[in-house]
Amino acid sequence: VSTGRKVCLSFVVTVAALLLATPTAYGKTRVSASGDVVTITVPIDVQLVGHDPVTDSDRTYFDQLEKLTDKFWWGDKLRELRYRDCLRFELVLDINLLPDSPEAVPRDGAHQIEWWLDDPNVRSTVIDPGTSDPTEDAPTAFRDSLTGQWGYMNIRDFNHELGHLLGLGDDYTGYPDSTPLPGRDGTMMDGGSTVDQALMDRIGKVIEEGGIELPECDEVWEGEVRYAITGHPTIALRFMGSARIAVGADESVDGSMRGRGVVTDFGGPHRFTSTCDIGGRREATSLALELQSCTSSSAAGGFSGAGGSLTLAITGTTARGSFSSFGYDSFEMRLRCVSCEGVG
Amino acid sequence: VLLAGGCGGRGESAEPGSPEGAITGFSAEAARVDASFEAIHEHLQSRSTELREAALEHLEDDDRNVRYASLYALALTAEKGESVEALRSFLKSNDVSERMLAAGSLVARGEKAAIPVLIDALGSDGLLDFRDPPKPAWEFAHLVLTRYTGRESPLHTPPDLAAAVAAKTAWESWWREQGESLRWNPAMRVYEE
Repeated sequence: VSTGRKVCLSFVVTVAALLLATPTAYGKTRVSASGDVVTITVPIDVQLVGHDPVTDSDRTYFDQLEKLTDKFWWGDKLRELRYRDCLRFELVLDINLLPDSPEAVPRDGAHQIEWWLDDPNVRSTVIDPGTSDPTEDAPTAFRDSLTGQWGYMNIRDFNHELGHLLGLGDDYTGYPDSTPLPGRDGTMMDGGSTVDQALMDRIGKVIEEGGIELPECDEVWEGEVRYAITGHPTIALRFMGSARIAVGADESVDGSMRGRGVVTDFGGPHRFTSTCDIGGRREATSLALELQSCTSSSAAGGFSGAGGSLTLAITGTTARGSFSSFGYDSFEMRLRCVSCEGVG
Repeated sequence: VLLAGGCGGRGESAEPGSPEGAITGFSAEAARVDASFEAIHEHLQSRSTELREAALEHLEDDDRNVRYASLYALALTAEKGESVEALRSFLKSNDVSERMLAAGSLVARGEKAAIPVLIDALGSDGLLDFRDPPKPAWEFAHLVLTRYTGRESPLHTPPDLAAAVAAKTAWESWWREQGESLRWNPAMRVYEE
């Protein structure tokens, strides 16, 4: 069976309207957005207690801290997740080192941290005047500069404190002995290093609670696809796969479908995998989808349909010659909306 | 830890008060504990002598929380003499939180007698009181040992308990072989072999 397959299809999926926006807003921990990338900039003035002047060694250390936080900690972990299933958070640390000197001039709008870099016993604290509950997420960091005292700590603990400057509360409670909140054992805001979807969602929520508007997401639909040719005198085909489709602000439709199948013809069964691009447009109460191109490991052909009643035409080329079919096919695409505003 | 603010809550700003007041007023109530630490921190630079003296005075207080606050303040302000001597006695405490406060302070002041106490704690998964984020003794001990022997940067991902326990034997061997000759370099704040 030759490779290369061309398929066209239209059918109906009911959807609702989508609101889109791409605002930009600034706070103390600042937020800006471009497309589906939300950049969170955390400006921190670090007064190095006992260090005057700030040395090259200090600068090297903090340069490394910034890079590693981006590459392996909050930065990397946030990039792997999505808020509302579409927005990606990009973290930018903006650390300004200040000597332990009365002449040091802090930046307006930056969080102010006294860092006791040489004392492992100083208990690290971020002061948030916006909440009376340390386990509560609060948007204060996005409205005002916060203050705090930090002791000598490892990079994990730094990232925990950084979480507070992203508006996150603690995932543990109780003194002097601490216990994780239910389901939060081992998170970055407990005593571990896990950044899960819940933390991502909490950051997004607290940003929005701070009055900062984040971009609306594309509608995202996903689900399973089943396609079969049955009853045809010379060919039988079954295909099962999954589809993911996004509906953009301009009402364009973009997506893909992929799966595995088996086609049986004169030469016997041939297994194949297939991937198709999906295009189309939003209509008043529906999506008109079109499979624009498919690549398949073993079959080539095309089919088209309209509305909810599909008229399928399959053509293909196998090692034994061309074939086509009408009226023997069934196509089922069950989609659910995973990121839709107001869509049931 | 996130020190919350607001009236009457955990973030209630501590009264400036005296250094002694910061110690005797220390509270472990969730709504006040961070303000209690903040009250101590406020005096670290400007009134450290008074804070140290108050700490020495309340080390044997009947109130467990005041005793903790005293030891905490002493650990941050200790100088050679009475305060360091007082800390040394806590190296043998049955309470791992007290041992780690004392050992962390002493090792950072060139008192190498604290090193074997830290090595011993590498096998302890007991949580230290009031730490943020929550910290088991082994993790604190690892952080402090590696810092003051110059063996590892805090930028490294911290190990897990199994790795710390596995490393304990090596640390014990190192201490047996190098302990006597170790010298404190006050300029670099590190022990040198």
